[in-house]
Amino acid sequence: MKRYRKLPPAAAALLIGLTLVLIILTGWHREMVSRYPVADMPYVDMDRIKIQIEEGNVGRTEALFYRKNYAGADTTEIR
Amino acid sequence: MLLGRHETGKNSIATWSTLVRALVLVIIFGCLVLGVLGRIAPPEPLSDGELLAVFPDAVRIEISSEPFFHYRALDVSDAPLGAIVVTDSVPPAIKGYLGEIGLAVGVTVDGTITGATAVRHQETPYYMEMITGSGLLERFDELDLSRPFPDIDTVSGATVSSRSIIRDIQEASTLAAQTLFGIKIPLPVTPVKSPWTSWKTVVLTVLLVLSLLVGFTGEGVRLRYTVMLLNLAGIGFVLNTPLTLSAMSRLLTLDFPGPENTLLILILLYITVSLPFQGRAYCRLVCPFGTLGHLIARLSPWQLSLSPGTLAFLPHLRRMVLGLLLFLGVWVGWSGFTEIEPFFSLFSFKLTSILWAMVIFVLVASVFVRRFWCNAMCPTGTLLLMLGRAARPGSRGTDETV
Repeated sequence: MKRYRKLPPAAAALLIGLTLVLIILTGWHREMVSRYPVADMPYVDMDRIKIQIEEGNVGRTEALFYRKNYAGADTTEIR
Repeated sequence: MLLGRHETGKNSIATWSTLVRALVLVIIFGCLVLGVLGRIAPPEPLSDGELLAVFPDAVRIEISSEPFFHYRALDVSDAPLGAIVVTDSVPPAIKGYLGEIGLAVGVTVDGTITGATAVRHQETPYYMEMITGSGLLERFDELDLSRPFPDIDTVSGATVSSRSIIRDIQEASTLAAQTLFGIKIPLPVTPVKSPWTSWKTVVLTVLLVLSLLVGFTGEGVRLRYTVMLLNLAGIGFVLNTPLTLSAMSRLLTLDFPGPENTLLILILLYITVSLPFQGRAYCRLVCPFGTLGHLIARLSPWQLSLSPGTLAFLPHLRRMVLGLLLFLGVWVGWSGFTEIEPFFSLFSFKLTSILWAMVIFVLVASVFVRRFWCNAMCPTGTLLLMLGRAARPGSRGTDETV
């Protein structure tokens, strides 16, 4: 039977710890991506939304939410 | 004295272990409760921005619940211009890969679609971005419902979700045009193809039946490696459909896959049949990422063994990881935490940088520790292990490592 050398417990703890950190980072990153997609999806007529904001038909917060979530664009432009 | 301290240590570990188990069970039970409550809660109304995106000509929009929930789009003089229906608020219930997709669809009084957009969904964000980025939703703009509905292609790589979206928009717009505006809708020219006859479904069926047979024949080395390699190629690289925590967490909230999602249904059927008789055969034979880890371990000259203490700790660690991810992903509602597994979209090679880091780290760890992810972390495998023990009460301790 093949015999293996032992992995020191400290090294095992380091491996496990680093994986846990990666899991948390990945989860947080996935969550941010799902909330604020960054892909370029220019199918929304933002000029129209801007006019709607100026006319008071759409709230600024709503428009920002909309722009972030469905247009996937930078939000600084209409702040 | 020494013996006494040893016994005390063993007792405290046993208590701690029981606490972890109890906590994970409470979290799993909580997922079921949240699933039931989620079905009772009414969906939130859409914002003006969302409504205007699908019906840009509307001056005023009001909610109507007769004969079904929809939004009425009105002009300056309050004359009706059309309606906006949200697909998850009207029948039939059509599911995407991970639940119903709420799509707002605008229809004018003369039966023309003004626009469609996804307003709520539980699909993987990456796949939904593929769909929205492909321009699929824009293909419905200005579509005349009084003519036969055109044959719209699905998005390659997000077939189940895009097929559901196409059907969802067709059904909801037809319902609105027929019921609200009395428009006669012609029957579709081409009959809807059943996903059960697609080549993907056939390939997966063959692979899973083969895996099941190998599991029943005692998993001889040659047969086992053959089926593992076939599954790595087929379920991994060709079909890219490994079982994920994301899918399992949907099941825990009682959100079962729709009939369109044949691949997930087949994998769940395989697990239902294999679990009571073969334990975690999915992890040993079917999981493509498990096979990758297994092959790396076989080829690596630097494999190390774990100390008995570390080995005893790993099952508790796995349960804690599962509990934490389900808590954050389902209880708190941060679904991104159910999408952390390194095989999540690995086989399409379309990973984000952080997922790549995770994949590389875990595969490098497998060079030193046999199937590091499976034995130390895998929440899906842990859930299967718990289900397997419930299905086979006498199997305790026999299926802990793969």
